[in-house]
Amino acid sequence: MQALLDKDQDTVCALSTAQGKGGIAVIRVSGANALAFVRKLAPALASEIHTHRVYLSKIVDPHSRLVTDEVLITFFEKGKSFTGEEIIEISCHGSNFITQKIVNDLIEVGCRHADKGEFTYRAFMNNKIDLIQAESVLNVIESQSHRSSTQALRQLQGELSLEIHKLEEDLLLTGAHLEAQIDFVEQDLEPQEETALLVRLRSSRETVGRLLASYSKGRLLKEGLQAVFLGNPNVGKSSLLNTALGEERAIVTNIAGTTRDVVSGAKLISGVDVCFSDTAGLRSSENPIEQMGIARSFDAVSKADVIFIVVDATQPELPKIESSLLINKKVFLIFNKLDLIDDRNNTEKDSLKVASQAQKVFCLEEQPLPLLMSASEKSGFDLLEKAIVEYINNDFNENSMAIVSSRQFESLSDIAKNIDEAILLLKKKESPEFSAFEIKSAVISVHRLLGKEYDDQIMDKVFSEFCLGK
Amino acid sequence: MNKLDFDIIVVGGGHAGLEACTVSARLGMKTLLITNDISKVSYMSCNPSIGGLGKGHMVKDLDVLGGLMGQVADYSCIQFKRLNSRKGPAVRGSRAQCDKNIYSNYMSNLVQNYENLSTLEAEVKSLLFSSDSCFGVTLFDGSEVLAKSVIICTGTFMRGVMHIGDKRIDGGRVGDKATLGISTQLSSLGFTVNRLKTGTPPRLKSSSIDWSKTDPQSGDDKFVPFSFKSSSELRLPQIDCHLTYTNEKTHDIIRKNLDKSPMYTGAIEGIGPRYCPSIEDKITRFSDKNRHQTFLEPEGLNTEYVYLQGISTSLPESVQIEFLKTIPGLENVELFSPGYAVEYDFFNPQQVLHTLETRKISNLFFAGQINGTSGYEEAAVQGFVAGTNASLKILNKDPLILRRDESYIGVLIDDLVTKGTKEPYRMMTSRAEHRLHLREDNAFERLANIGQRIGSLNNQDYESIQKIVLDRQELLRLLETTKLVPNKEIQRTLEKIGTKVLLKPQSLKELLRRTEVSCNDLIHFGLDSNYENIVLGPVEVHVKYEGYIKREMELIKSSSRLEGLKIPTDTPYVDVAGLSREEVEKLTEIRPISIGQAGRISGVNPSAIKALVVYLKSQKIV
Repeated sequence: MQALLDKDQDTVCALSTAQGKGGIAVIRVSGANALAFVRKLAPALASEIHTHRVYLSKIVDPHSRLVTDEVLITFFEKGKSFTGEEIIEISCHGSNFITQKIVNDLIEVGCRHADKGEFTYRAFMNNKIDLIQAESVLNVIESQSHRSSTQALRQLQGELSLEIHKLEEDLLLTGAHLEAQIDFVEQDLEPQEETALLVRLRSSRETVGRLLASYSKGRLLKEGLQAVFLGNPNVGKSSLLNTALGEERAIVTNIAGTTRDVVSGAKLISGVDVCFSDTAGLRSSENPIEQMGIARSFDAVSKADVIFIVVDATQPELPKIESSLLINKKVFLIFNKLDLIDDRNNTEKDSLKVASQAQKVFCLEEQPLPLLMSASEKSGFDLLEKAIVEYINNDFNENSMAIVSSRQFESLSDIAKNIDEAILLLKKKESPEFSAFEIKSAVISVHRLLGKEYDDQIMDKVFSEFCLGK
Repeated sequence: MNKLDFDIIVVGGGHAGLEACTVSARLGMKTLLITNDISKVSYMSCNPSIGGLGKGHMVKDLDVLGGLMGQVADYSCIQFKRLNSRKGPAVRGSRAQCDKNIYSNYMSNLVQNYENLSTLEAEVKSLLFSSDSCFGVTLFDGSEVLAKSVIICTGTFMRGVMHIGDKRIDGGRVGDKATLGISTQLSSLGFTVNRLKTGTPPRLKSSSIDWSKTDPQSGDDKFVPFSFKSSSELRLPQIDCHLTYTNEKTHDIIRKNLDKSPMYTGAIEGIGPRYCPSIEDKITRFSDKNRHQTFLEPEGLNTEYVYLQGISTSLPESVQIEFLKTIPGLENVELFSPGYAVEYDFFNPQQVLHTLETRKISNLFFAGQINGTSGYEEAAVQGFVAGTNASLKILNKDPLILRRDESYIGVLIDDLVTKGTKEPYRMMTSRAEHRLHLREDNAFERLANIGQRIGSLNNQDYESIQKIVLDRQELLRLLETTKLVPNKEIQRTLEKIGTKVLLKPQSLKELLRRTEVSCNDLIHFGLDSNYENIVLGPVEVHVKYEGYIKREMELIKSSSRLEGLKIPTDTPYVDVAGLSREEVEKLTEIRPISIGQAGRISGVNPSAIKALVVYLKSQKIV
């Protein structure tokens, strides 16, 4: 433990922008010796520098004194920085060589490389950010797609905090009405009727439900979208993958059962990382390798958000899939090999027929949209992208709030359980100490989300709401 | 009385002082009680009731620990009520309206004939100190009384000032003078002294009330005594209270005269309790309420004094009479004494330890309103804890520190010493995170062993409690091991008592978990019908609450782990990385005994707690 404490005293440094991307990179140094250490690499830096000002300087090798790069140095004094510690940010040219060299030299003169999330940890430890903000910052660090970082940024502005504060307020009010019935029973208080309490509780429950539902969307942004091509052997799944990615990722032959393993590749669509996976064709096979491949196909399906069921347009035959595997998935039907059909007059009608059949066979909530495509002619991919974009847009409304960390998800799930139970207890007209217990548990979870201690706020509410007193 | 040596001196004969001096005497300490008027020992200065939500729980707990309040409340009870009787057992609270004179006379006789206890009618001028230790008191006649420990229980009397309109009268209670020297002396020693305010309603003359215009309210038919030592038969005849209401006329008069209320003219600086506002406050803050209820509560069987619950006021007497006369039943009312507000000194309770010994001066203990509490029960339990700990210290034994999950007494003291208080602190069930566990019915299980260990509960009483506890345990085992098999006869009986038939074999305990099944129903399935209610009732509650209590325990499991992380009292907080200056100050001032307590200090952030844990681990302390 001594080591852990010592670690907190270290001055740490790390590349703060993405590795190997962009023309400019920022290296952040945080800790009591940040300026002192940077001076060892920037001997020409003005002797007196001011906080929140930018200085042009040269960074040199600490031994040879050869210039590594010409950089901009920004100084944040202790207490006025993101971590609350003294911070230097070095904006240098974005080559891997330069950033690596500067970081290595900083370590040479006494810095330690920051652990993942350590700046945030320090900011949290120094009361610069609350827990929710801390987690959002971690998500900024981790987020890879554009949308995800705007999402995380919105949280930093405290919108999620706002939403949760409103939830807190409502729960406190409900708790106050329940508590008043217990502790001030003889005092003619007119606490709200069960029905009024139920109305407010249901509205709180809706908020929680909305936030919970946003988790899957939040995850979509953070982890990207998983799309899987699924179908019988030799319907062209691998060709579709290659064309979708614009590269020869999967081996394509006309031999059924060529693909034995799940092959994946990612593409940025509408700001979201979409990971396409090709799977082994589904058929009963004696071959143990192919059997394993088919098992992996199903595994990939279970993790997927979007399923493209691929059929050969010349002989459309639906694959055999347990309908339970498709629950809660977005399913599309791809009519591939359109190029092999000479008379395309009836194709659309046929595809709709198969789509309707698929809805029945797989017990889908809605009829899957058929996409007429040809992997070999590279046609129909605009339809595929459009389908994905629509799915993303419908599923994720930019203005809605999303929770992104599993800790937030867990706390909110607990809160939902507490509220459900409280609603049940109130409906059964059980003694209020039980529903009060549920509400108090929920408030404690909300406070945990906000990084706050529960400190009798329910009673404060009782006093502001009711006229008490003997 | 020069150079007369005592083990313990208790200053003040209110509810705190009384428990303090009697428990000290029971623990074998040569004890002296100093009070202004021995005939007014344990006088109920305000309302005529003992108990209520949270408070009743404390009285029961105190009783199991060997305290006196419960027994005397039972003895003088003239109306008994179980509040929340239709709600669950954890939030039922017993309340006894008492005959004030009988209560006080009983206590007065008791302390004058108590082994090891002497009494002295005198006024204390100052305390005697040597370096950082208290060793006695100086009286107003200049004489000194020496003792190993001193317990201060002076209630509202420390620089007490009563306000009635613009009239200011020195004193802590009508007819009694203020205590002046001690608080000045203590504040010069560096104690933080602040002012609190509380109020009391006018006392009405019974014969001037037209009772026919009020609504009589009787107590419960069934009496459940506070004390396990009391008979379940009431000793005194029972009386009714009477309900009536204020109206817009009343409110108009009060509103017109607000400028004469010292609460509004700024004459009062002390902070009053939010749960007990004056009628002026009620009308101003809740102006949309067109009436407020008030109970007319006789203060005893043979007295004309009637307490007007709900109408505490500090308006001038003439205004009080004017607005009272608008209330139905009070058209011709006469007053014995007007309502008044009283302001008094208290010491921020963060200056005392969990033992109630002050941090600055050893062998000096504070109990009751001096620690910022309100209420007879809150005072009594503190008096008991202070008296016990002063004694245990002299006896060189481990102190009595009740945990928050053991008793409301633990909740009260931990709240006081950890968070301090800004208003007069009153116990409420919501303050206990272990509310479902801290019930009146399981006080034996929670506290009898502790009372026996410290010696405040005598062996004979302990034995009789233990017998009941063992009976309960045996009954519970029986319920667990007796299995019902779903045969025709049993299913028929189940239907008869109005519950669902069995789908598979179940124990009696599982059956009892059903809301609609009570212990009495189990007699049909062979349960001995001779079990007494004191055995049967708590077992039933235990079974029905078990699931919830488990969840309650889980909810606080992490916090109890934090309670277990002890912090040495000499921790140099300035050296702990990651603490703000404010946090260092707060922690240094309060010196929490555990990480859990540290977390309850307001202004100490969660990150500071992490930092503290990290620090303690680094020092290999935890």
